Amino acid sequence: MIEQSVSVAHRNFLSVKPHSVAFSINGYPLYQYEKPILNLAIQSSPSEYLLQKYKDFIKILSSDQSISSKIIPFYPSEEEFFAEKECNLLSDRVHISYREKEPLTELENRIYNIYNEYQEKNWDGYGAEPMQYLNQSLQFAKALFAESRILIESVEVIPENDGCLCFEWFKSNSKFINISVKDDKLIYTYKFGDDKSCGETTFPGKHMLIEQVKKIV
Amino acid sequence: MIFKKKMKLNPRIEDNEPLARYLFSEKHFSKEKQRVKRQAFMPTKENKVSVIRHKDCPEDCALKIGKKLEDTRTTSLKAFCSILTKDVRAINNLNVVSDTSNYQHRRHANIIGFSEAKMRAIADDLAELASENKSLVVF
Repeated sequence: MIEQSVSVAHRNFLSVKPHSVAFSINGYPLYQYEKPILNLAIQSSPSEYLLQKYKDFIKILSSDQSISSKIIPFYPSEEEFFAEKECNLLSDRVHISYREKEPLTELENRIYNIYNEYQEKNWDGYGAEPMQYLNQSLQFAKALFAESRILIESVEVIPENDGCLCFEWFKSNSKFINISVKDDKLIYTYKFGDDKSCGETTFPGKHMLIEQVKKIV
Repeated sequence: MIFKKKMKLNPRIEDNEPLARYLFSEKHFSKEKQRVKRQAFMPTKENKVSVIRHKDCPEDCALKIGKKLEDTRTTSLKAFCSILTKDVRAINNLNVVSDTSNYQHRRHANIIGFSEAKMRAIADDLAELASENKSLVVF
């Protein structure tokens, strides 16, 4: 984990019109980073105006559903909060601490690579669609990882011609499970000896499938 | 100069005819494990899987056909595998029909009859057939 901090001072805040600043680090917006921490350290004595703007900003953050963690910091002490997207901040001087994202799990890397590699239509020579459902596939990968690292170590990710990514655990022709991620659905086939099934479920039903994966693994 | 006369193919595909599936993605098979994956047999939006009839077709002929198919695509040929028509017809209402329309190769055929609900499971069965045949040829 690398922590760095960047000090950002922006334009003269004493003017009547508030300034808005979109924070980025080396040109990459904040949401590219793993939970960047914005330390709002107001270094100079704030005017009432500034203080009010600071309060307003916190209010905006609190109401923003996309922000995963809501901490209400307040002057004068430094507080930390997390932001997942670019945010507008009205302040005098801001210290930003951020962590470089932990290396993606190897599975997430594979998903990204396959998703990017198979963006050309007809990539299989038979009219295949470009890859879709990246976020849903990553979400599923995270769910697997949360369950057990072992599950993701033996999975193979395979592109399918309808744009889905398929997660496959294959031991033999009589012992395998395939789970394709299609929008909010998980389409599965599995065979475990004489026990053979196929169907689809939604993400809340993934635990049933993960139990089947454990049998294979 | 000797001209080889092209063998005439019966439009009706016999049960004992071998069918080749040409693969243009290395993700759809495993050379090390000599295994064909189900993605190699997933039907298109038109619900069919394109195959080539390999009746009386030696290996160099199979390769030539593959190269011809490759010429019409932006991806290169990676492998092919084969299955028997009768084994395909034994799976879940599938059939194999000749299709030489739209400038298709004269040996071209389609596996048809995929049920949408079981499409992937059927593709699993076809891949299993191809793998068990040990017919995977990788270029």
